Amino acid sequence: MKRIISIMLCALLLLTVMPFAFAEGGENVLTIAMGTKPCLDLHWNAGSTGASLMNMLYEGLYKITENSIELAGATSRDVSEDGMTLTYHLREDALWSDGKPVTAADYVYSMKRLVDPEVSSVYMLDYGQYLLNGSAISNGEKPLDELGVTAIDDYTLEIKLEKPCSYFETMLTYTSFFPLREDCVTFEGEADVRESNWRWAWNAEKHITNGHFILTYCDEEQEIILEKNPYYYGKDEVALDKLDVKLADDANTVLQLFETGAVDLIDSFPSEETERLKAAGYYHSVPSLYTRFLLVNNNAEGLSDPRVRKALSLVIDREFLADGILGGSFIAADSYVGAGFPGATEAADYHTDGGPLFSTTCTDEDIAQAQALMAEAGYPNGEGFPLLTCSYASSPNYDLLFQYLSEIWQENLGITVKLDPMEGAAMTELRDAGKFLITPQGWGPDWLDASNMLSIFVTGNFINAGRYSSEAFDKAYADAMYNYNTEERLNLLHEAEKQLVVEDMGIIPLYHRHAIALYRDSDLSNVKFDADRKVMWADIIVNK
Amino acid sequence: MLKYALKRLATSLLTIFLVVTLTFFLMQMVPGGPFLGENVNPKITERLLQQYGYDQPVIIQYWRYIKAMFHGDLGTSLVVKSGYSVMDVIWGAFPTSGKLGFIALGVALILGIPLGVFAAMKHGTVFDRVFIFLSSLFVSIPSFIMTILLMLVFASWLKWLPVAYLENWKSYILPISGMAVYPMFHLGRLTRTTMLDVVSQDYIVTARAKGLATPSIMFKHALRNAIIPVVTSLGPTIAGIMTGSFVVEKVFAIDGMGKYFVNSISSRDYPLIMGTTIFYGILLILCNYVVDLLYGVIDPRIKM
Repeated sequence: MKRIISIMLCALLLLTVMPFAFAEGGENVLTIAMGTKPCLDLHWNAGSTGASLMNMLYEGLYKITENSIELAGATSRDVSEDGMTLTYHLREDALWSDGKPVTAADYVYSMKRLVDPEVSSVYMLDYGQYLLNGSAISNGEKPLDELGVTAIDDYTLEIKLEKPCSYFETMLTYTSFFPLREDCVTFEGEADVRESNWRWAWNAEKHITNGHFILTYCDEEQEIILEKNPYYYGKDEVALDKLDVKLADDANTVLQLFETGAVDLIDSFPSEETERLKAAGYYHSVPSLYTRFLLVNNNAEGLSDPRVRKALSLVIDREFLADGILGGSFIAADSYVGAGFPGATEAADYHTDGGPLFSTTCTDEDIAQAQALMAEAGYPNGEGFPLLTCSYASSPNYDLLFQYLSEIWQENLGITVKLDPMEGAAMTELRDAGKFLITPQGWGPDWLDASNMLSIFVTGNFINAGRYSSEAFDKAYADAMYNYNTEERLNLLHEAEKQLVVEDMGIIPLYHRHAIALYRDSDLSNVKFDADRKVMWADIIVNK
Repeated sequence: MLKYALKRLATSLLTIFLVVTLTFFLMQMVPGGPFLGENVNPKITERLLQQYGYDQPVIIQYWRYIKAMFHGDLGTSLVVKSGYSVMDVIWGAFPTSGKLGFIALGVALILGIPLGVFAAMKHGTVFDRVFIFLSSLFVSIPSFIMTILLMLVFASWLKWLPVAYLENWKSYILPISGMAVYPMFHLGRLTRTTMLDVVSQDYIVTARAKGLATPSIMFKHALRNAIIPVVTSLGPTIAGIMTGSFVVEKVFAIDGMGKYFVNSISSRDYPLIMGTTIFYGILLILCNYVVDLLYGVIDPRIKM
């Protein structure tokens, strides 16, 4: 009897294990979770979740690898003597997911859509301006046909620039410049769809892509499924067969999906859980290229004096802020441009070349110096300094940040600080209108070059809502744009950066973020971040 | 009765019109606007506002909106569900929310009212006290805490039920519990209180004197009178369940109306704000209307 029971128990055990045994030999399927409605339209997306999916669905002229960028959709490129004309020879084995070849015309259509004033896509003005006649077309001064992007033949693409731009190639890694099939964007009988929204992109039957993956199922509210593109020329190097993306808006729900094993990997979670997740061994991170800083209204009374802005910056203990107050998933900034951008040589990155530009801690001498600067500016012990209102979109991290800042500014500089937390959209409106004294802002690069970090502080740029304006900065930046010698160019960018945060302290850099992936080491292997600090989904191997 | 029904209908329509008007102007008064984004060039925002006619004076926009509304056109979502007509968004999402709300209301009624009756029957016993304790507890826990608690206990710790999404019958349990707990105990308490009032009245004493069994007295005689205030509170209860579903839907990642209602406001998707508000407005006013008419049916003493 005992024997029979033990045999039966063994059989039962086997039965429970069986399904897993079968799953082993099957497909390499990864399940992840992110916020709902990721935008999948190359020209309408402005968010990072949409970008990470589109980088899998599409392939542009260049791709981002673990360490840098390399040609992808093209096999070679020629540059004219003046640097103003780039000719790309496209690869002839690249196919769309319906088997048709990827041609120069698909790139031309995409770039025309980028600058088309009828579409008014998000980056029309900011990225379209680099293409010849781009701005004029966007402003309705020239017809769309005059855009300086032409298909010489099916596999030769010519891009003419509006002005020399030494980092233009890096910019081509951004999704706005990827090829797009015109027949997928237009819906029969629904002319309006094409104009100003991205609804077409959520239609899995219509969506045609040329990258590692194809969109096989899309319910933009609940779940998106990507599968390996059978027409992708490099499909044998794509480790992942299928990516199942569960969509949920509540950060806590996303975390619970991960903790109960319903998803294998997530890249965001409520920040107060950081310590626990680190202790559990789920937390994997690399420093990201993103910088959080304070926009300071450079035209406001008091704040227009660089000495005041320097004093405000000097008394911030950034290490204490990043590690002590915000709980360990941030890195104290010692410059504006963080680590990870290509340097002049392979040996060191841009940040290492430039060295620290200010201290990450705050000593008694720093405080004394800050007080001296305030006195010099005419506000000894903060006397006579106007009320300093800090406006921000309320969030747990910002609430902590500004409580800390208000404390140290009041205590060390003797000024009066008022906190004005508000709702997100209201803050965006105030910021865009320049109606604030101090407000937080962040920037992560769209392309892998320090120039993208600095470009936003050129006089008149809309992100530069504090209206920082420096002739020296603008000149150094423009010179860098026109200089094709890497070392000289980066030196000019270093010069511009020093002007921004050492000479003028036009903004106050605070900290950098981490790019995070939460997963169990037992479940996944080969999880890597690319040079842009995005998880390289296609390479992941699932061992479940 | 008919006269009353017509009069109530007229005031209901007026209320809806006021809701439309107030929402339209209030929403435009709130700072911020559609197409504003962290990294979106304000010039682009301006162009898009122009394309959609939001650069016009508010009163003209209002007039256009009202005109289109009477033609059954609620416009197209600008941001949250860009490109979809507001009607499509509502009809696509409401069935899910409606189903959850309807089941939750059913659970609350079927469990809440008998619980209240039993508590009144067993007045002063351990059952009654436990019921009072539990109802005070659950009525005072806000629904967003309740849903997160439910998820933590039953999905994360015990792993009996799924964390999110409506995939099978099991996945309905947590969202419905999250929505039903509050109205259930609320209705139960109300029933208990009104029952206690009623059972002390003379006609109940008479019924007892006739030797009728307690359950028969309670359910046949007492409840008919005791239920009137409960019916009155049904209107607001339905409103509570519907608005409570916003949190539940977000927490359990359910593709219902709540998400659109909340997200349309935070992203200033004007047509969608109007659409969802009008929809909920009509729904709630309709509920109150039906409840009001029901009075007369339940209690013939009430003159309409």
